[in-house]
This record gives sequence, structure tokens and C-alpha cells, in this order.
Amino acid sequence: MPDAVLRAEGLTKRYGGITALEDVSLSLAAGEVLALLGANGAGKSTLVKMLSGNVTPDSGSIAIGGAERHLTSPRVAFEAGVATVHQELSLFGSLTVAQNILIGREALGRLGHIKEETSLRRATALLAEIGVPDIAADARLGTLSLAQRQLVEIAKAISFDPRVLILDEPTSALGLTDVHRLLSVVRGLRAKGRAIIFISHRMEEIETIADSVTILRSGRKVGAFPRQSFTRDRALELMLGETQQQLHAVPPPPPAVQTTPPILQVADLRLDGRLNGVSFDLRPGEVLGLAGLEGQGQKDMLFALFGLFRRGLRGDVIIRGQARRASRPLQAIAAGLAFIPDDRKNMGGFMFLPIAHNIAVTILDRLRRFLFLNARRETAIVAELIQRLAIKCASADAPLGSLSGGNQQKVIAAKWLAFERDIYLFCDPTRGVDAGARETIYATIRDLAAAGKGIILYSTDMVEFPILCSRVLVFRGGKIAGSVSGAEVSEESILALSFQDTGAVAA
Amino acid sequence: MSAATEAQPGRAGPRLSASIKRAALPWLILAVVYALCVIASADFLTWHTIRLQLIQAAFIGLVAIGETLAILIGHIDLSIPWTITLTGMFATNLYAAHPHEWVAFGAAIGIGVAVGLVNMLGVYVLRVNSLIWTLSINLMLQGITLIYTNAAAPTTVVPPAAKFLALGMVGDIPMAAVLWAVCAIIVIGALRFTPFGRAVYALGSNELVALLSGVRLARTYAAVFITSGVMAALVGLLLSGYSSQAYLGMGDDYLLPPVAAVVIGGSRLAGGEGGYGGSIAGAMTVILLEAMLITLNVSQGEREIVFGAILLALAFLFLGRRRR
Amino acid sequence: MRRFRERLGDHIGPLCCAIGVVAVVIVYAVYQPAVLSAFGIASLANASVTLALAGLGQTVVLMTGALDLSIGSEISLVNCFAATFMGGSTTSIVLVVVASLLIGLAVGAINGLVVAYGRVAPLIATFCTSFVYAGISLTLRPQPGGSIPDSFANLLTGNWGLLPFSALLLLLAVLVIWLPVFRSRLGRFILAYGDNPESAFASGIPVRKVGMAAYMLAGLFAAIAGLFLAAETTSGDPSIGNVYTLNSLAAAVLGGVALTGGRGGMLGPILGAILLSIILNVLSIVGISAFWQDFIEGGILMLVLGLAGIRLLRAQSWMTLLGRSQS
Repeated sequence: MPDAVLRAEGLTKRYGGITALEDVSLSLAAGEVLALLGANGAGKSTLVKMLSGNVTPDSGSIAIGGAERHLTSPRVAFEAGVATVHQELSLFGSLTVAQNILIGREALGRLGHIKEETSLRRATALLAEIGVPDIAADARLGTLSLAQRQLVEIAKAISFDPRVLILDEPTSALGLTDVHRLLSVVRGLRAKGRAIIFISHRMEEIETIADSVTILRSGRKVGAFPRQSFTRDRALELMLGETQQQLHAVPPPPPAVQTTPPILQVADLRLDGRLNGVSFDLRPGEVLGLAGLEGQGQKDMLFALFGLFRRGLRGDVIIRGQARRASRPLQAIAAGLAFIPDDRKNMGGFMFLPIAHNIAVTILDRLRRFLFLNARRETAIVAELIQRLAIKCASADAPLGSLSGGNQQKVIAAKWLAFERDIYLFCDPTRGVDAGARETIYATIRDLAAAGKGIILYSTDMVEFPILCSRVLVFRGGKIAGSVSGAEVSEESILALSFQDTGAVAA
Repeated sequence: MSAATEAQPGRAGPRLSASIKRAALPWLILAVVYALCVIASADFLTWHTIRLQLIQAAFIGLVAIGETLAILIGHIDLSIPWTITLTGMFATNLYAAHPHEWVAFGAAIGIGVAVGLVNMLGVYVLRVNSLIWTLSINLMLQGITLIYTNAAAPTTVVPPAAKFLALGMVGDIPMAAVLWAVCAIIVIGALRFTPFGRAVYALGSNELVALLSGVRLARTYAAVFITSGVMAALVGLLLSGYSSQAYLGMGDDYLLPPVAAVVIGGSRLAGGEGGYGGSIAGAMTVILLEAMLITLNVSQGEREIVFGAILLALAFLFLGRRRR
Repeated sequence: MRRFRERLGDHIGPLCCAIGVVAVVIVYAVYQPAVLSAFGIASLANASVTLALAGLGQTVVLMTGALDLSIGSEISLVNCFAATFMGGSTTSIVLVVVASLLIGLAVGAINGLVVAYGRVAPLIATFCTSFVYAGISLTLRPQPGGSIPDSFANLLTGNWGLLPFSALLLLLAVLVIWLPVFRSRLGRFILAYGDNPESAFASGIPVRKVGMAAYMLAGLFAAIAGLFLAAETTSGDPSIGNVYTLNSLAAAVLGGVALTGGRGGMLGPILGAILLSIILNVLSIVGISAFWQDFIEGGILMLVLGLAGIRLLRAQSWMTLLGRSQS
């Protein structure tokens, strides 16, 4: 293909022992929309980051317009003709649309003053070019809807006059009407000869817009075909891969006996736009999975239960028959909840403090003897947990930050084993964790379930649901889109529910 | 979220020795400053001079108890100067009218608790930056003191207990130093061996994690700021005892030096790391530095430059960097 | 309607201050009708201009999401410098004025270096430098004193009919410094950086230079304030600027400048400064003794900061609430 605008060959990136992307190649012609598809963690974001200059590949090459380019920074990528619209927008709420689009490239007068009129005209022209003349160039960005901001970000990218435009999940937060609008903007850009990489989780969008589809799984390219030969079943199959190896011999706990009263009942939980009426029960000994694509409300659900939202939460949370909706973590803890977060550095542990302090922080009141901490009991409890969870550390006095990610996660789990609670909320506990630590965390979850605790597990790694959960709720748009239980819990069933049409989402 | 690497057992070794180095550094600085003092004037070798400096250091050191706690939780208390002056004025006047020791000390503790609660209100409840808030409270207290002294003339009647604590001697050792030592043992013990100490470090390391782990934040904030207020008030009383009177501006020298003592003592300005042991060396260092500069006829202005620059250098080197 | 409400939201700070100023002036005039004379207006203007200039400097830094606690010391420093070195001749006056402005830029540049390049937290950094600058003033002028030629003093503090020269000085500062900066890319960058530092970096804005420029501008405004104080008091005083550190903050916040950055204009802090200054002036007129001054200043500060804090308390999640407190 001599007319390829973008040609990437053999892109590979490893982080330590983990391969994020291996030998991925793709090429893109002018006026082509290439859809990139893959489950969470398949390597899409790494690929996007390479093309936008945020990550440099370990090996492989990128050529734009036939010339090889080293995209070492976002700026270089812009200059090479690749503009990216990231999920986190790079805009300023207090500036106007025109000021946002042309920031740093304003038309200047002889005195060095910004010629606002000229900027306004240029911005208006750009907005008209991408087909959204109804967004006023002099409106303040902060007053626009999320969808409109997304379009402004596209206009900003277009203002660099790029040959390649990358749209990273531009529709994930949009309703149906806005999606249609965005898709027609993309069509218009294609008609003007721009090459576009389009990332989305929504199959019907891909069916309407893409000229070709590339599918990634575990960092590898596992399929590439033109739109004509694209089918959803085939895509799902490729995203999942062949039969998963059954690494885990331990069967999931049996579905909770329906006669035991639920330990936790959630009824019509709402949080402005993020949770739109979620109801479910949790029984003792049950491991309930929260699945779905990222950002569909699963995490908000756990945060809400643990009292991380100070206001705006509506609906009922009933624990052991008592209304215990929390607006502070202390209330949630008192109600019998424990929370193991995914963001270890900011929410999980005290990186500079000793392991022992990290574990014992939940039981300070219980360790109190007169005025002092009962050091002997603390040491015993900490030592027991370090052994039970096989935490690899030089001593209990070593700072948490000196441990590997997996062992840090074990310490964070250990603090809620020291202080036993009735309900455990695991928020993506194995993110960035090595295989050994994973097994320990799985075993911990099973032990807790066997001991009659109620467990809610949110994970971005779908492999974990079949091996751990007796029931899985699939979230979409802040609601439960469906649930599977018992033998039906499989990656296929979860993925199928996650990728259903968006009609329901927009409503 | 990057790759998982196995823990390296060897890493704890250097870490441990690093923490020893960190604890030893303030004392090393103190030794160097003391040596410089001796070079500047041989007087610093006499017990008489050392004793005088020790009393001054005790005042800074007592105030630095509260400042250390505030800095350990990631905040700062700049309301100390006028807490000192207000207490000095108010408590001595009250004592002159009602000559019972407990009246003066009760008033001091009352003022300290009140200032601490107001500081906690702004910093914890309203979440105003502690540096700005406590500086505003300092201004407020200055106003209250001025209004009060306008109505009530200062007195030279000082509670004997305050006089004894500031000027008395136990054998050859100043009473102030003994008091300081007792308080220091209590604070170091509290920080090391009590749930409160753990909560302080947890809060200073990462407030969100502390919240998620069930640490009682309000209680910890209150304890820290009330301790700081009470220590400042107590020093206000001692200072009136020391000069046999309370006067306007008696607390003026207590804005920067306590902070400098804590920072020289190795506590991180961003919170969560450090302790009171270093602050003891820091307090002595600050006093000796000041005494040395005075001996060398360095003007007050130049002394301020020196202190500001030292603090800035320490903040730049490793203590006050922005958290990411 | 939406536009209107949006505009109103922008100008609510200046608007409230303007209403406040009118109200306080009415109270003032009732107690002391002479305030509406040429002399009265000039003295009110003179009382407000220093704080207005300091408030403008503070606002520039606030807009980047940082803070300057050394403004008061910068004012004192320039004040002492001018009172010490300004001779009677026109040449020496001009030289000293130029040097003063350069000193303002230089001390601002030091703050900027430490904060933007040294990455020391803004509050700690400027708190430390404030002692350095205060120490320099104290070394220059251990006691209040020095002299300022009458010609210079009259130039800044006199009046022409109802129009006080001090108001002209403020106008000049706005026209020559504020407007050109905020009509240029630099001003745009300052707002953008304060609004969202990550986006600013991603958009290719030279964030460190912008941070540095903001502190230099603050230093420049402080220098003008220091010169004006020199003219007003015809002497140098190493502690004269102290009150302006916190009051400049209060004026800016009263005028609707957000402590979190990215928002603010010049009208708000100016009106806020006028309001604060007149309130403090009125107190003495209505019979409240000067001893109450600090108390009332402190009270206003606590109120203003508390109100700014309450705005933050509306945060929905604990993450944002706790995340923001450590600035």
C-alpha cells in the first residue's frame, strides 16, 4: 500500500515482565476509518499512547506519509500530523470555545495583543468545517455539555490540520443523539480525506462508521478485516480468544442458598447520572461480581456503598435489616463494610509508613490498653497476617512503598482482615498485580466467602468472574444491564451483555 | 499499575540506615552550630551561657511540640505569636485581680483550647489552607490583645509558679529545661506508642487513606491544634514569668523559629515523616544560631535573612516539595 | 437568560463589592459630609490605592492557582529602598523609581524560580522568601525614617479638582501593565494554567515560564504599591507592608477571585480593596477606636476565607474534598 498515510510496523512495549503490546502493525489510508476493538487491557490505550507521542515503543517503527517518525512527545506527534482526542479532555472550563481551540496559536496583533475577532472567525470556521455550527465560538466552555466539549476537542485537534486523527472512545460518555451527531462529524472528516482511528466499545457504531476493523487481545493483533466481513460474533470470539486455559482448579463457591436472609440489600440507588437506579441483594457467603465495560458505574457503586459520596446519593442501602446508607466512610465501616481500593498509592496505603502501621491502622482502638498501643498484640496480629497472606517483606517495619505492587495489595487487604467486617468490597484488587499475589488474593476472597462474609468484586479483568463469582451483575450506563449466575457465569456471557446495543444506554 | 517487581529484601537495609541518618542529622547540625558558637565566643563553653541558651531553647522547644504535631499532619500553626502575647497579658491581669495560681493557669489553658478549636474549625471543617487560616487567626488574636490591653493596663504581678517554671533551678539545671524534658518524653511517647500517634502519622501521610481506614480525623485534628494552642499559651505564661511582666509583642519572635526548629529537626513539611526528637535538636540549633549571630553583631534584619534562607534551602532540598 | 446568569456569576464579586462601597460611602457621608469634598475623595483614594495594587498583584498569582505570601515584604522592601536612596533631583527620582520597579521584578523572579523551577510548594516558598525580603528591608532601614522629596510625594498624592492623582496611578498601572498582559498570550496562559495545569501542559503551554511571569507581575505591582506608600508617608518603614499580605488576599477573594485558580479579573480586587479600606476608615469615623482595627481585619479575613471554604464543601465526593485541601 504505497498510499498509506500512517504505517506502523511491529510495535512492541513491555513494562517489566508484562507485555502491553507485541508486534502490532497497522496501516491506514487517507479517508479511511479504522476501528480498534478489544476488551479492557487488550493494549488499545498503549497503542494510542504510542501514536500520540505519550509512550515510546521498545521496538517497531511508525511512518507518516511515507517518512519514518519518532514520536517522542505529544508536540512532536502534532507536528508530524497525528492529533489525538483523548478520553480526558485537555480543555479549560473558564475559557471560551475559541480560546480553547486556538490556545497558544492565537492570531496576534502588532502590539502582541490577541486579535480576538480573528480567533473567533477561525474557530467558527473550524466548527463549521466539522459540521457543528451551532456551538458558539464565544460561549464559555464550562457551560457546554460533555458531548459539545468532545466536539470542541475534535475541533481543537482538527485545527492542527492533522493527517491522522485518533478518537479514543469519544462516544463512551454520550447519549444516542450525541453519538449520531459525533458519527456524522467523523463521516464528514473522512469525506475530507483525513485518516481516522476510531476506538469504541459499541458494536453498532463500528458497523456504521468503520471501513476496517482491527482487533487486539492481550497486546497482540488477533484479527483485521474490512467492514464487509465484520460480524459481531466473530469479533467477540476474537476478543475472547480460544478457550481460556483453566488455570484455576478451585471451583467457585456454590450459589448462595436462597433461604439465608440477605446481608445487604440495595434498592434503587441513584447518584446524579452515574448510578441510575441499581437494586440487588447480597447473601452471606456469596461472591457477587460487578462487570461491564470500564466506567459504567461499577466503581461508583462500591464508592457509594463505602460512603465516599458526601451528597447526592439516593435510594436505600439495608444491611442486616437496618438502613445504613453512608455519607462518610466511618459510617460504612461501622455498618460492617470493608473496602479494598484499586488505586494503591492514593487510596490504598501509606507508602512511607511501615507495613505494620498500615495493617494496624484499622484496629487502633482495639489495640488500646490504657493509653498505649498493645505492641505485643499488634506484632502478633501483623506477623500472623504477613504469614497468612505470604507477604514478601524484609520486616514488618519496612515502608509499604518498598514492596512490589502485589505485596502492597496484600497489605491493604490485610488491614481489613485484621479488622474483620461482614461485607468486603473489592475494587479491581488485582490491577497491576503479579500472578503469585493474584492467587493469594483469590484464595483470600474464597476464604472470606467460606467464612460467611458477603463479597462484592469489581474487576476489569473478566477472567476473574468465572473463577470467583457465583453471580455477576453486568453494568451499563449506571444500571444493571443483566445478570448471570451459577454455571452461566462465563466471559462470553458477560462480554455479550456488556456489548449490547446502546439504545438502552441513551434512554 | 506498571509491572510487578518482586520485593528486594536488601532494600530494607539501606532504608533503615537512611532513617538513622535522618534522625542523626539534626544533632550533627546542632554540633556544628555549637562548634561555630564556640569559635565565635569562648563564652559558649561556660555552663552559665549554656544554661541561658537552654532556657530560651526550652521556650522554643515547648512551642515546637504543637508545631511538630501540626507539621506531622501536613499543616502548620502560625497563630502562636499572639496566642503567647494574649495569654501573657490576660492571665497575668487575671492573676493580679484573683491571686490564685490556678486562675492564671486555667485562663492560659482556656485560651489555648479556644485558639486550637478555632484553628481546627478553619482547617478541618472549612478546609481553608492552614497557613493562611492560622495567620489570620494570629491577626485576630493580635486585635483581641490590643482591644484588651486598651482597657486593662499591663501588670508586673506574675504568678510565682510561672516565675519558678521559667527561672527556677533544680540543682544546677534550669526548671524550664526540666519541664521541657518531661513534655518531650510525653510527646515522643505519645507519637510512638499510642493510637493517637499512629493517627497523626496516618493523617499526615495520606488523609484520604486515613479516612478510608477509619481513622478518626476530627478527633486527631482537634488534639493536634488544641495541643499547639495550649503549649503556646503555657509558654506565654512562662515568658511573663521570665521577664516578670507581660508586654505587647512578647510573642513576636515565635512565628518563624518554631517552624525552623521543626524543619531543621527533619520533619517533612508535607507531613507524615519526622518526629519530636529532631525538633529538640532543632530548637537548640535555632537558639544557638540566633545567639551566635547576635554575638557576631549581625543585625536583626540580617538574622531574618539567614533564617528565611535556611528554611528555604531546607524546603528546596527535601522537605517542602509539592506532593504529586 | 443562560448567558445573562453566566455573566452575573462572573461579576457577582465585583458587583457585591461595588454595592458595598456605595453603602459604606453613604454611611461615611452621613457621619462626615466632608468626605465628598476633593480632599475627602483624595484621602479615600490614597487609603485604597496601595491595597488595590497589592490586590492586583495577588490576583495574578491566584489566577495561576498559587499564592504569594511575600507581597507585604516586597512592598516594605521597595518602600525602604525608595525612602533611603531617593534624592531631590529629578534624575535621582527617575533612577530610583526605575530601580524600584526592577527590584519588584527581581524579587518576583526569585519567588518564581523557587516555585516554578525549584518545585517548592508556593505557600512555603513565599513564606520563606517573605522573611528574606523583610530582613533586607530591616537591614536597609533598621528604624522607620529616610526621606522622600516633596515633588515626588505631591506627584502621587495630590489632586486635580475632584480627581486624586493616586487614582490616576492605579489607572495607569492597569492600562500599562494589566491590560496589555491580559490581552496577550501570557494572560491567556495564566488563566489556562490556573484553570487546569494538566491540560495546559498537554496543550504545549510553557507552564514554568507562566508561573514565573505571574510572580514577577505580582512583584511589579508590589513595587508600585511600595513607591506609592513612600510618597504617602514620605518615609520608609520596614514593617509598613506587613498588613498587605493577608489583606491583598482578602481583597482578591472578596472581589470574586477563586483561590483555586483560573478565574478573576482586575475590577474585583480593586473594588474589594476599596471596600476593605473604606470600612477600616469608617470605623474610626463612627467612633470605634483604632484598637479594634486588627480585630476587624482579622474578622473580615476569617469570614472571607470561611466563605471560600464553604464553597469547597459542596464537593460531592470525599476524594475531591480531601484532594483539594493540600494546595
